[in-house]
Order: sequence, then C-alpha cells, then structure tokens
Amino acid sequence: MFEREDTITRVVFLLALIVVALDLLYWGPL
Amino acid sequence: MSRVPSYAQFYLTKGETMTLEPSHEDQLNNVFFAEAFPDADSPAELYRQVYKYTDCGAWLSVLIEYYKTIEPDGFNDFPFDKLVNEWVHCGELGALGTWKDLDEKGVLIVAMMVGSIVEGVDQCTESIEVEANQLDEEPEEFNNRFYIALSEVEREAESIWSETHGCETCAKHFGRNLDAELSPVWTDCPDCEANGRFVYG
Repeated sequence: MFEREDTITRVVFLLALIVVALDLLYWGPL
Repeated sequence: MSRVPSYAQFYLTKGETMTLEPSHEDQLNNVFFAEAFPDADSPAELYRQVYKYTDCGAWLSVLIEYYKTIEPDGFNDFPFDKLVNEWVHCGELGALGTWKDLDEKGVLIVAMMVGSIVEGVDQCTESIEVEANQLDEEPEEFNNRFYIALSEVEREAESIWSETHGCETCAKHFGRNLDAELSPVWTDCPDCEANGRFVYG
C-alpha cells in the first residue's frame, strides 16, 4: 500500500528526471 | 526622404542633381548572419550549437550596436539617441530573439566572440573576437573565420585540459603528487588510456 507522500516523491523525482533528460538533449552532455 | 543634405542645395545650380552613396548603416543588417549560419535562426541557437558541438563547450558573446535613447538628465534637457555598443553573453542571448527580430528592433550585430572555460580547473582559453566585415566579405567567409576561431579555442581548451587532467597513474609517471598539484595526461597511460580524470574545482 503506497502512502500519499510516496506518490508525491515519485512524481517529483520523475519530473526532475524528465527535466534533466530534456536539458541534456538540448545542450548536450558536459 | 532625400539623401541630399540641406547645405548641398547652395552648391547645385538649377536642374542639377546630386546623388550620394547611401550610408553604410542602411545597408548593414543581420540577414548577413542568417546567411552565414543557415542552421541557426538566432544568436541563442548559434550559442547552443557552439556549446553542444564543441568538446570544450565553448561560450559565445555578440557585440550589438544600436541607438539608445538617453533620457534627460542634469546635462541635457531633451532625450536624444546615442549609438552604443554592448556585449551580450551566453545566456542573455535569448533576449535578443532571432536575426529578424534584431533587424526589426534596429539592433545590428557587429562582432562575435568565442572562448571556453576548462572544467575543473577554471582556466580560460583566450577569447577570440571575430568582427563582421559585412561590406568586404561574403557570409560564407565570415562563417569560415568564425569556425576557425572556434577550432582555435577548442585546440587551446584541449591543450589546457591535457596539461591538468592526468589520473593517478599519469601523475606517478610524471612524478607529480596529485594531492598538491595537477598532472598532465600521459598519452600512453595504461589506466586512463589518455582519457584523464575528472577534476573537481
């Protein structure tokens, strides 16, 4: 059974991951 | 509007016409850069390409020229336009918009500058300024000079990097103590295979 906080943490983490991925795609790794 | 200055009428007899070369400022525009860099629609996009497609992640600055309205202060009673030059750097380039936007705003790019900061050691390469000679060269020539400057920056960054990013085995080879100083990269290093290491500034 997931807690509400767990879900929020996952969503925030996933969003951060997406932002990092998009940034890397746009600017390239460095 | 007539290009003949008002004082000229005193020197012309009736029926005579006078033509003047249009001033250079009227001919110059940023279409030159759109033609020089067909893959980039704006200075910001050019910066992104320069950063992304160089190993050293070079930076780009552009020198803009425009008429700035000086508001009345203690020295002048009326606002007037003054031609100013200003450098716009990296992240700020987004505010300039596309080449076309610049033309519409009456802003002209007169030079570009590239350089790089080497990661870990914070050493800068030389900044190379490439002035645009719109009247004397084709956009392709400017593009050429720009990328020559960029490869020079890249070469210099690479040389700084290989002077400072040696791994522990490289350091041992050169008799350096990594705790106290940096080591060059040993090209035959069996450990890092001349790839060096990350240096944390």
